[in-house]
Amino acid sequence: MKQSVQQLLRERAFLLFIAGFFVFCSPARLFWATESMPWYSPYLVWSGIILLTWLLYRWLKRHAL
Amino acid sequence: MHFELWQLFVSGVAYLGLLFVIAWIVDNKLWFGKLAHHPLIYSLSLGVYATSWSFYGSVGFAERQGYSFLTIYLGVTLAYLLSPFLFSPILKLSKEHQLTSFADLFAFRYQSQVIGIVVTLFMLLGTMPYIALQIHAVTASMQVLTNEAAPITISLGFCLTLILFAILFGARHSSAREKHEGLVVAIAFESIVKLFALLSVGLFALFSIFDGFSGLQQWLLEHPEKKQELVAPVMDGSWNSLIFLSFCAALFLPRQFHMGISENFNQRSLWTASWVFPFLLLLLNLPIPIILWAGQYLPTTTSADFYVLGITLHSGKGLLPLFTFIGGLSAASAMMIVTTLALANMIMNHFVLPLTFPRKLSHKTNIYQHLLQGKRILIAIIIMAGFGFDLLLSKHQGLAQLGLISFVAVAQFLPGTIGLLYWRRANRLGFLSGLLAGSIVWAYALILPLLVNAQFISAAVYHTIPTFSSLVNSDDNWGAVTFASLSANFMLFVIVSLLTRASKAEDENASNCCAITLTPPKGFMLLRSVSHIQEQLALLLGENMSALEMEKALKDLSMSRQDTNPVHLRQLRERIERNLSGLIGPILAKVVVNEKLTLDTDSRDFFAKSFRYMENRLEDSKTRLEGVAGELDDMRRYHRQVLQDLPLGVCSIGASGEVINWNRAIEKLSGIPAENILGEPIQTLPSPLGELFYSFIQGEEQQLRKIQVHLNNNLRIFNLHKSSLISAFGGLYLNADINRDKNTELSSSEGVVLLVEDLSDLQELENRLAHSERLASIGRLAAGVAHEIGNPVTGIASVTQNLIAEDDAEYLQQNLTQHLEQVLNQTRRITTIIQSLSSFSRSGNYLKPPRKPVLLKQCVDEAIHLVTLSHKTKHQSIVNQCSDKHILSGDEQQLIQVFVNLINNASDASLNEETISISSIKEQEKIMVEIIDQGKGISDIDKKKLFEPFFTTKEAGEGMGLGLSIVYNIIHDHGGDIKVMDNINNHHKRGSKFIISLPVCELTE
Repeated sequence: MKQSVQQLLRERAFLLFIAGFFVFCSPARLFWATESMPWYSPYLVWSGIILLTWLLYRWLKRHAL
Repeated sequence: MHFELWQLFVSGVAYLGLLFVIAWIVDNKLWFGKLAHHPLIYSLSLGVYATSWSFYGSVGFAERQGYSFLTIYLGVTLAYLLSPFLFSPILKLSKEHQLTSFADLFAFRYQSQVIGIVVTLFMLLGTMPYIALQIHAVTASMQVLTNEAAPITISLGFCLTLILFAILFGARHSSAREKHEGLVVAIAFESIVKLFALLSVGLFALFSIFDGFSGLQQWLLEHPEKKQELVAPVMDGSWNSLIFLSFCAALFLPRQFHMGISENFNQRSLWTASWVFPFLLLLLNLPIPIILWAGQYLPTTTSADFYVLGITLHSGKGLLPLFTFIGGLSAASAMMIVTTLALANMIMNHFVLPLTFPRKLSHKTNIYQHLLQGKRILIAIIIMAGFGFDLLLSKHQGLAQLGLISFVAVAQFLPGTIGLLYWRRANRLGFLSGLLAGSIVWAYALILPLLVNAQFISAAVYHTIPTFSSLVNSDDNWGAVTFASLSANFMLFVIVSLLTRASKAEDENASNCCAITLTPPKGFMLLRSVSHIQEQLALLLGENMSALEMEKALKDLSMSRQDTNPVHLRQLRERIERNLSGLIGPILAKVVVNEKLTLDTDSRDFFAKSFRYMENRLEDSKTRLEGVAGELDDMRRYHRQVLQDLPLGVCSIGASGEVINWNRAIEKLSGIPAENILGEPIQTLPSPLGELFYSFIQGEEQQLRKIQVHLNNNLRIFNLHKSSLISAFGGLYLNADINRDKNTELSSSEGVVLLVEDLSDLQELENRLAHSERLASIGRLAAGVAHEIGNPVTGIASVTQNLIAEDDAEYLQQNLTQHLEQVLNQTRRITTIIQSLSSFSRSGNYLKPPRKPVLLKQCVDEAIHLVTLSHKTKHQSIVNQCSDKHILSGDEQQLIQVFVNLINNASDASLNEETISISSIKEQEKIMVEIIDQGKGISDIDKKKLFEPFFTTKEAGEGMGLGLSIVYNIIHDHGGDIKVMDNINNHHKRGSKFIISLPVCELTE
């Protein structure tokens, strides 16, 4: 059965949240929170999450209209 | 470089004045009237989250705890990723029920004024440190720029100025339900100002102090410990706790709810905000490490919390420090204005109004003015309370510490919110128990030390009880407090909810709040008109307020004052309750409406009204239903569409006779739109349909055929069919065949389905076909007619010529009369032929044949006479053996047409010298007429299709194949029947026999 746009949005938003949780809250943050990484590395990771969010809502705009 | 206090004060007031002007222009729609509706403006207005803690305190936080300062914003980013699960449902609920704060939301869900009070109190107490933080930041920033301690009067002056602007921004209208477009745009502008201010300081630090990126890189290489200080705290235990706290803050802080939910104009703006707002926060925090390092690089005398200002003093110009000060002031004042408005609204709805709302308003009481004045007073009290908190308690506290105290406080609403959205079993006792437990832990761990520091509690007394930090013994104090308070909260919330029962009202609202369900109404209005409802409301609200609320509700629903439809009145009641909820809070609104607009839950036609009501609600909530409910709703819509598109008129009528369904076909044939008749009794249909349908429904017959109805000056012909809707064992069945004995125990009728078939066009077509066939018959007779008329004309001509030529006068005298009689006989013969043709060519009344006595023998004779006009039949014998006592009831011309067609067919099938006989016998109430020929007969295959239109065995051009079809229709219209069989006789099996049965004329009885 074809999923509604709402269901797809919820799924993708949740996956994105998991991704965000993973990079910011899990021990995976060691990858960007090290002295060898540039001082702006957390901002790069943060920008990546924001970019993915933007892509998600761009998709939603196209399909919900 | 330093500034004077008055310069800073004037700049501050001028900036706030500018914000007010922007808000005023937008509110009065002088310019950019719709700007507030733009998703970007909405997203920027959420930047009120970044207060003076973000502007100043982040740098201090970064110095003490490295990158941990980012947690305050990463939690918000994660919260907005879960918008579809958190913000969207809260937004929908708030809009639907006009809830303007979390206190409203919880009070609504758990149906308790006490909860509204407790939540408001706790929110007020929890937000005080945050307000104090803003006042503290502004006065401290003035101290940095003026290089002197700001007297208390300056803080007081700042607070009084802010009271004025808070009232101007948000207390010009009486109600929280009015949107403040100007405020939204002003806060968005403020976000841009503080962003530019911080970015300017960052750029100054980068390019003027470090000489660009390369300079900064070089300095970091020389001081590697600086980067390490930033990075090390990331793996601390407090990292995740702080992210969690900011996640909760994004949801529960009063200013976030106010800007994000109450001032939201369009749900779709939330989609844009989900990435724009985190991006704004990212930009705000981008310069923080650079400012920190610049502050550590320069010989500044300020604490790290105020490096933002301190480093700008090295610019050598006044503009940057002043702009930075304005940025900080902007951040602080926006927070205070919005928070104060939100708190004032909560206190109004949950404290002041429940205590002071008059039992009965007089016509002199203006409730709107009452609300407005109350709100203004509350704004002043809240800001002054923040001032008092700052004065007495917030000394020696870092900005971040004060902010985090508020964060832990608002996080206590998380269990209740989960229950609100996803757990129906949650009840008010559970929520209250959990909240109290969490708040006690919070107060013990965070507020008590504040009171000790401010010397409100003696240190000696404090140390007699175990402190929280000694009990927990953790490096991560914030994490420990959060964990302990939320654990106590969650545990009691769940346990008490499971052990106690929710009230009925709570159950109902639990369904409303838990996303997917749509609950059917619990009753319909006892009051039957809009004016009655308004009168009842006026008894409690006063006439003025009642009239205004009624106008608003009617306008919202696009309803007319004259509407008496019970479903619409029920919706009006709901709308009034919702609108009042935005004005006086959900609990008080419910009390007002329940007291004066009572419902009838026992009416017999409840099902019919509920059906219509639920249909309306389902139409409104198209996108809300998901999963199985969504699939079922799609199926419902499909079946409803099928019903709507049927070419047959369909209407269903409830047990009390009111119309429930009225499809497009019946709209078209009756000329009555659905919205005019739905919910109304069937008898209210305009005459003659109302009486016709009503009497048919009441009658015993299941069908009525070919009913003639005059509608809009047109004659229409309908077939009516009906079926009862039977309710058995709680289910509904459509059963036309069920024994409708009213004594049947198993069934009780829940209404009727009426099917209306419009035969008008079909009948018109049949009439034209029959007339065409009749004319075609005459056409086939034309040659014979010409011959038949020619003979007497020849005879007349001969006699006349003879008379002219006759010379003998005596002969003429003796024989003239005889000759003239011959002429007269011939003219009579012509007249008879013409009269027969003329009467036969008339279309006759096919709609409903007039019931007149018709002599069968005479009818058949006339038919034979017409048929014998044809040349062919002259060599055949057509014998009329019908009894002259047999009398039929019907239309003579139509019956003649029947016999003409049948005799013609028999003649066509027969050879010369063969006989065609027509005879009749009477059997009980019927007369059986047999038309027998000795022709070629009809095959069994042809017999099956014989009476179908356009079926013929003749060559092309010899007939259209309509004759027998018309015969069939005429016979059936006369209440008779026709069949065909082989003419089997003793000698040979040749020929056909048509048997017509027709009812005897009652006059002959």
